[in-house]
Amino acid sequence: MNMNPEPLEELLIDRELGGSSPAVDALLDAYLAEHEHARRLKDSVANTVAAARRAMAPPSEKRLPPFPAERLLRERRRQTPRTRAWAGLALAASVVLAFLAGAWFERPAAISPLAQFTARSDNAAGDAEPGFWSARRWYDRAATPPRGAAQRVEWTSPLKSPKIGGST
Amino acid sequence: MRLQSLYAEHGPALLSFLRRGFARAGDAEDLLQETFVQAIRTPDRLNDAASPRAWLFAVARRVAITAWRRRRPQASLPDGLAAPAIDAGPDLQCMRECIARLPDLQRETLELRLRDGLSYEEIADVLGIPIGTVRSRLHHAVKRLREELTHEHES
Repeated sequence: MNMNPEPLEELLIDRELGGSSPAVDALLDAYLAEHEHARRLKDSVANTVAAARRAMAPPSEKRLPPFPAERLLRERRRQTPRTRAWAGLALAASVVLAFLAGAWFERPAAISPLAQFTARSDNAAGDAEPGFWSARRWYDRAATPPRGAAQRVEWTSPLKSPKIGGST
Repeated sequence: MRLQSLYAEHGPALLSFLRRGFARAGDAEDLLQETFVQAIRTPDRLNDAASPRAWLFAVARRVAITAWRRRRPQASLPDGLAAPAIDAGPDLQCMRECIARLPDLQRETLELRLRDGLSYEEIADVLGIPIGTVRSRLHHAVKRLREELTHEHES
C-alpha cells in the first residue's frame, strides 16, 4: 500500500525536525524500508533541513552582558510599597463590603400579607438586638436625641424660679 | 538566585534571538536586560511556566516588539534574518536567500526550531498559537525550501 506523498512528506519533515513520536518513527521506518520513492523523498527532506540548519547556525554569543542584578533589585524594591498600598486598599474595600452586606441583610423585606400577620403576632419576640454591622443600629442611633436634649428649662413666671429637668 | 542561573543558561540564546530579529529596535543587550526586569515583575508566572525557556523567549519577543513599535509606530516588524558574517558557500548562500523569501510567520517559526532549538510545544507557547499551527507553518516552510532548492539545482 502506498501513502499519499503529501502526508508522507509532512511526517518526514516532523521526523527531521524532531517533532514526531517514537511510535510514528517506527512505522515510518518500516514503510521506508519497503518503498524506494519514500526513501528518495526522505533524503531530499533531510538535505533541505540540514542545509537550513547550517544556514541558520547561531553565531556564538560570547559576550553576554553582566547580569543586571542592581536593576532587578531596584525593581523589586519599587514593587514592595505598591504591594502594601494594594493590601491597604483591599482592607478598606473589605470593611465597606462588610458594611454594605450588613445593610443588605437588615433591609425590610418584601413579604406576603400572611407572613406580615404572623410577624405582627410575634412582634415582641422579633425585636432582637441589631448586629454591629447592621444599618438599623446607625438609624436608631441617629433617631435617638442626645442626652442633653432630654432635659428642658421650665420657667412659667418671672416670679417663680425656673425648674430644670423633666422629659420632653 | 534562580533568575541569575536562568540568565546564564538562556541569556546567550535570548541575546542571539533579540540581535537577529530586533536589533534595530534598540540595543539587544538592553532588550535582554529589560526581558529579565519584566520577568521579575511576574515571578509567579515564571515559576508556573511549563518551560521557563519558552516563557523567557515569549517575554523577550514582547519586549522587543514593544520597543520596535515605540521607536517606529508606523513601521512593520523587522524581517528578522540578518545574514551572519561568516563565509558561506554558494549552496548556503542560496539557502539563506530562500529562507529570507519565506513569509515572516513561517520563517520566525522555523528559526525558533532550528536556530534556537525550541520544541514544537515551546514554540507554541512563545508565539501564543496552537501546536497544530506550529506544525503546519513548519511543514509549509520546509516544503517551500525544498521546492526552491530543487528548482535551483535543476536550473
